[in-house]
Amino acid sequence: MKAGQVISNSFTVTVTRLIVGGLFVLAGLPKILYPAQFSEVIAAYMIVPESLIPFVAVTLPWLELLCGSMLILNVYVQSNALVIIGILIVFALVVANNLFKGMVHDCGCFALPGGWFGTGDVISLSTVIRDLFLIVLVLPALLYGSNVFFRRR
Amino acid sequence: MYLKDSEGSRAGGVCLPGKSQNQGKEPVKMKKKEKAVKKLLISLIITIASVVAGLLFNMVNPNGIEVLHGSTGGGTANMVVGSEAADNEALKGSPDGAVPEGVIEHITLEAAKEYFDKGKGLFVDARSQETYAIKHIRGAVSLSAGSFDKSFEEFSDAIAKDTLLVIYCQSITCSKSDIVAEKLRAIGYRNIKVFVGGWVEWLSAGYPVQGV
Repeated sequence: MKAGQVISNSFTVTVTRLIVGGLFVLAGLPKILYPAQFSEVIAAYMIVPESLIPFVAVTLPWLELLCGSMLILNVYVQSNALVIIGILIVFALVVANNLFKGMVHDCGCFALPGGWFGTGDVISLSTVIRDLFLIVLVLPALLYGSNVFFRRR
Repeated sequence: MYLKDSEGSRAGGVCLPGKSQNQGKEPVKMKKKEKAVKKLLISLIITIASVVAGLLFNMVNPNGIEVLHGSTGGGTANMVVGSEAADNEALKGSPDGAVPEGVIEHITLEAAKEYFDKGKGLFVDARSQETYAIKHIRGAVSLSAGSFDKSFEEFSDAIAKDTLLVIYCQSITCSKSDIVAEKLRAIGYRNIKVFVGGWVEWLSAGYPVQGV
């Protein structure tokens, strides 16, 4: 009961959605600006078929940016949290799968604006753990966030 | 500010005792299902909106990439980078070695492997030095597109200008090998091939690699 009260608390919901939303905006923006570098990152994962790589490179960052910003703005929080959880589950599975196969390559998760992608940051077990942690962090927003366009305070 | 929603979902989950059970349950259940469908629908709309936004923005993005390149590995192979005249000359040339000097030829995985097996040519890795350090095509040297201007002198001191160079980067969509190829041509290298499939093709073919 106590844990339930904590995660349904409006303060918890607000704080977690701001954190996750902010992270997703930060992750999405540089990828939107430099799709060529991001497609290299996707290619390194060797999951997406070659012909679909540019499509994913162009659209996935926008999904991150839109969901992230709508979480911050408190717009359709539950629906956006659902999309974000979906993305995070896919990320975690893909990284875990590649680690299992012994492939170590650029993560491409967060990039410095203007810098080349994946400088130094390669995938590891902590990438998977970070994704799982973020999934837990979105749960309050998914379960107890508001799901309307804009709400008057 | 969230109270309304959380109250609603709680009432949907647990039926309060004391209420008339038969009448109260059904509409609440229906409402809950409707709400869930609506949430899913909005998620779907958000996803579609992102796809549309991404495709539209890519058209105006100065760094935009070609999304629908119908040709895959085979199609882009043997494409020649250079002026139009050079293009025509190259097309006339026979497939092996008859490409005019100074023209950068794009080669396939098979051709790259042939050079590799014969020990002909030096493989040049145009990806970042960090990526090179992790794993690269066996025998390749690193000449990253990002730090070319810093490191090309060392390279040109060690390697003769008529050496056959096979340049590669991550995959077919990356442009680093073309950048390095152009810059090498500018400093006088005359026998340059770009292996377009790059690291991804080489690795998935299971050909020899080295690294940590």
